[in-house]
Order: sequence, then structure tokens, then C-alpha cells
Amino acid sequence: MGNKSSLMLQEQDIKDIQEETGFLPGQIERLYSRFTSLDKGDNGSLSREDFLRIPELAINPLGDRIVHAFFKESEDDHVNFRQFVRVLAHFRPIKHNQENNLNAREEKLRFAFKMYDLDDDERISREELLAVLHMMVGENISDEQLNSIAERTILEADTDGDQMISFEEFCAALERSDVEQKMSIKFLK
Amino acid sequence: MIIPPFIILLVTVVVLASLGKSLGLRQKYVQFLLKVFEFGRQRLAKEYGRHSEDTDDDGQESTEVISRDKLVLRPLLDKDNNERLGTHEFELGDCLDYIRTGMEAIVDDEVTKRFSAEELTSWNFLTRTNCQYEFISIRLTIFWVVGFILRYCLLLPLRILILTIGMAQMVSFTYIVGLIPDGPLKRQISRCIFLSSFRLISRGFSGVFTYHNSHNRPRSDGICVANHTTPIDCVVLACDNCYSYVGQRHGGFLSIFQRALSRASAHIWFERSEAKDRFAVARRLREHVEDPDKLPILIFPEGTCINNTSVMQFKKGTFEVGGIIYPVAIKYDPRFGDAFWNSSKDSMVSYIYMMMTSWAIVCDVWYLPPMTKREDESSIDFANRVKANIARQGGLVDLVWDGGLKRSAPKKEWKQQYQQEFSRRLKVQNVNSEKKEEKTE
Repeated sequence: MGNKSSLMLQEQDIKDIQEETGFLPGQIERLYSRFTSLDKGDNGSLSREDFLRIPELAINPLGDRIVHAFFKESEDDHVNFRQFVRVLAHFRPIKHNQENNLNAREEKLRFAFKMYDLDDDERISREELLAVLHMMVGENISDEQLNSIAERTILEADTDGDQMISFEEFCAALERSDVEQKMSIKFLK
Repeated sequence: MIIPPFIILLVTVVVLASLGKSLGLRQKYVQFLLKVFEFGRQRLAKEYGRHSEDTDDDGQESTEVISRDKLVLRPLLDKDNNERLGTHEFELGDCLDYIRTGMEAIVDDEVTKRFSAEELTSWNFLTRTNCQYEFISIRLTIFWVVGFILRYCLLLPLRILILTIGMAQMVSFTYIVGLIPDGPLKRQISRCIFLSSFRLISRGFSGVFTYHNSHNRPRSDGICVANHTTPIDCVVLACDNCYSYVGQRHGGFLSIFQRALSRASAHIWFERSEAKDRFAVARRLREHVEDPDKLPILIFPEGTCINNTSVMQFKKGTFEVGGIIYPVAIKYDPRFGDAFWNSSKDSMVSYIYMMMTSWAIVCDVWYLPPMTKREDESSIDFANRVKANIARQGGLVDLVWDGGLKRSAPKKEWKQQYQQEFSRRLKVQNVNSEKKEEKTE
């Protein structure tokens, strides 16, 4: 149970969120507690600074992209609790008998795809791939070498010859990786 | 009518504190409170059990949201960088681990929760830690109201008085002692004054301190090092032993104390500009340590207050001085009142007010065996070794992170470390052999 919540979560809200995301009420309350503790200004919503105040996230090479994933849906550059939980719901582990449209394998893959596809055109271009590569390696690898890595990666994945990676090609490329496991967080009951 | 008994009570407390004796009343009070809390916890569990459908397996309440057993990003130590890593070709799926660990950090990270009050698993009848619990059941409400009246109407005035007397006593007696020339007599008398004044002040918070392993108590040939939660740490330690304090010279109210303390024994106060000069600091510390007539120095290497669930990075300055280190672990029991001072949220005055309206300040102090730096050890490794010991004894989480993150952003180098590590694991085409050897050094 949280220490203090200036904006209390209503019973109905909890039910709605449970419907939508599959989280249990206890989990939703604890996530709300976390949400309010990140919300330093007590605004009822989070800004990018609120996220990047988390040191572990600030030193994550993909930190900015991850934060950006929360703000894709919001119009005013703030994330409310519903949006917050909706994004996190993608990372719920998959249970065979629970059908939920947010944490299915395809949704997890789509989330990963959106990490690369910044302009939302359903294609990963060479520039977008280079951008992510650059975030992951910093200054340690030269641009030419990064270019060749990007080209090779696109060559391997691109089956329809358009020099870009579509979502289907992306899923095919990740066929062998254990996406469910890697994109799941162990939420405690 | 209430005044004479009040005065008798006051005098009793003052006399007992000066003599270092105790009637054991505070301990009994603490035991009684524990019984009340247990009752409250069971009642709450019953009431909440009725409302929610899913209950915990073993009835244990926990504040954890997720469990993490894979990659967790933190500042890498030198030894982490020397591992030889296999290389592989880049794949689109390589970023998945970073994404997941980033999300986990958003839900629950190691650092941000250390800078706010520890979450209790059950209510302790203080308004500040409740979520409208007092409306759950009539019995709980009654307890809360009684507790409220007890704390604010009876304990608070008493405590304010005791605290004022204690502080006045310290300032006036140190003034008198300051007139005595330096020597064994002065040391003996100042020891008595310090112990009795601090014990009196500690009763102003209903402090119940338990000291373990007193044979390891710090001596004048070394530096005492402890984890930092609140300014009250100084009082806690000063009730059992006398120390020399290190710090910046403040203005205003605090300067009165600094001057009072300095009259009775040697302390190390710095001007703000001097504090930046690390060699000057180390030199003064060393001079102090080498003088057997001076008291052991007390230093908090974290540099800031942490909320007593973890120990954060120890600054290496103290560990370069080269003397004996006496580690001390302090663990507060948060059920009686949260001792952590959140300086970005509360001012000193409101903090003291909250302390004086809590149930009590209960803590355990463990004196750990003295440690010295080994030949082949760097100061940073020595600092981490001491920190690990303190964390283990106090049951605290041992963190690599810097307490300075309370106020400032993490250093860019830490992100660069992970970029470097990722690059080293990448097999890169047409790379010349010199470059590869450079990286794997």
C-alpha cells in the first residue's frame, strides 16, 4: 500500500483498467503508488523529466526511446495513469488461457518494432536502424562500420526488396529469439 | 494542579540522563506499542481480506511490485570491465534486453525509492503513513484518536521542554568548560558534559537506542564511519561515546552549536572554500587521527541522508587518510517513527516537529571490528569493503549508486560504459587487429 496518494484511484477505474490490461487489482494499486511517487509535481501525470529522473533509465542507452514510447499516445506531452499502465501491460507475461490483446506475442513484437520505427511509417529505414545502433554503441564504433552493420542487417531481413524492414519481415527475423521471455516482466501478485 | 507532577517528571528525566541511568520506562513503552501495532495489523488484514478477492499466499504483505533476475543497469566497477566477452553479429533482437530492463526500471528501480520514507507493510497509527485506514474499523479509529491525543498533548510539550533544557545545558556547560585549560581534567569533564547533554536530548525524542558489541567502540586512534539517515545519527552515537565532528562552518543557529562544541574539545570545521581542497582536508584529518588526546572523528561517507533501507556509495576521501576505520551500522525501526530526513521535502524545523510527534525513535547500533586498508587495495575498494560490512550487519541493501543522485543527474560516463560494453560484444567487419586489442585490454 502506498504511503500517500493525493489523487485516489476509484474502484471503477481499477475495474476498467483490469478489463483493459489484465492486471490484478493489487498490482494496479501498486503501480498507481509507483506512478504517484514518480510524479514529483503532483500533477496527476508524468513528464519526460519525471521518467529520466530514474538513474537506471538515464544510463540505459535506449532510455530516451523507451520514454518516447509512453508519449506516443499522449497529445500534451504528459502521460496519465491509464496510458502509463497501458504501455506497461505489453510486458505482462503471456498465460495460455488468458487472452488479452495488449500482451500477445504480436503486440510485444510491435512494441519492439516501434522502438526502431520513429516516424511511424510501418517501415524501418536504414537511417532509423542507424539511429538506434548509434544509441547503443555511442562513439565506440566508426560510422562506416555502423553503416555496414546496418546494411547487412537490412539485407538479411528484407525479403520484398524495398531496402526497408516491414513489420512482417521484422517478426520473421525475430522468429528464433525468445520474444515472450525477453519482453516480459515478472509482476508479483 | 498538573504543574508540580510535571516538574517532578522533568527533573527526574534530567537527573537520570545526567547520570546515564534509565528506569527502563521507554523500553516498556516500546514493547507496549509493538503489541498495539500487532493488533492493528491483524485487524487491518481481516478488514482488507473482506474487500479484496485475491489474497496473498502466505499472508505476508510486501511492497515489491516486480522481481528482477536479469540485466540490471548500474555504474560498472573497474573489475566488471575486465571480463572477456564473446562477440556476435548484430541482430535486430539485441535491443530487447535493454528495452525490458528500462521498463523494469520504470516500474521499480533501486535508487529513487531510497530518497523517500520507507514504505511500511502495516499501519503504525500515524496519520502521515496512512491511506485512510482510520475509517476502516471503529477500534482502529479509537486507537488512532487516543494515540493522537497522547502524542500531541502529552508527549510533545514534554519533549519540547526536555530538548530545550538539554540544548541549553550543553551550550552553557561547554562555555564553562571552555575556561579550563587543555588537559586530562578538561577531557574528563567535557566527556561527562557531552554524554549527559546528548542523553538528555535523546530523551526529547523518546529515543531507545540499543548498542551491540561495545568492545569494538571507536577509539581515538581512528575514524568512525557510519551510514547516514538523519542528523539524529550524531545524537545516537554521541549517547554512548564522544566524537569529533567534521563539517562545514554554518551560519546562524547551527554556528552556536559548532562554537559550543569547539570550546570543549577539538572538532574539524571547514570554511566552504577549504572543503573543496581534498589534500587540505586529508591533512587535517590525518593530524587529528595521529593525536592520541583527541577524540575519534565521526564521518558519514555517503555525504547525504539516505532512507535507511540501503547504503549508497562511500566517498573515498575518508579512506585515503590511512588510519584505522571503525565501521558502525545504524538501523532504525520505522514502525515507531520514520527517522529519515528528506531535506528536499522538509525543512529542519518541520523535521524536528515530526520526530517529536512520532511514537519514539528506536534504533540498533552495531559496532563492527576495526578495519584497515590492505597493501594491494585501492581506496575505492577499501571503501566498498567497509560499506559491504556495514550493509550486511544492518540488513541494508548494498548499492553502488551515489547518494548525490538525490539532487543531480547521473554522470554521462555510466551510460557510456554500457555503450562501450555493447560495442565490445559486437563483431565488426574489417576491423584492424590493433583496435580490437585496445578494447579488450
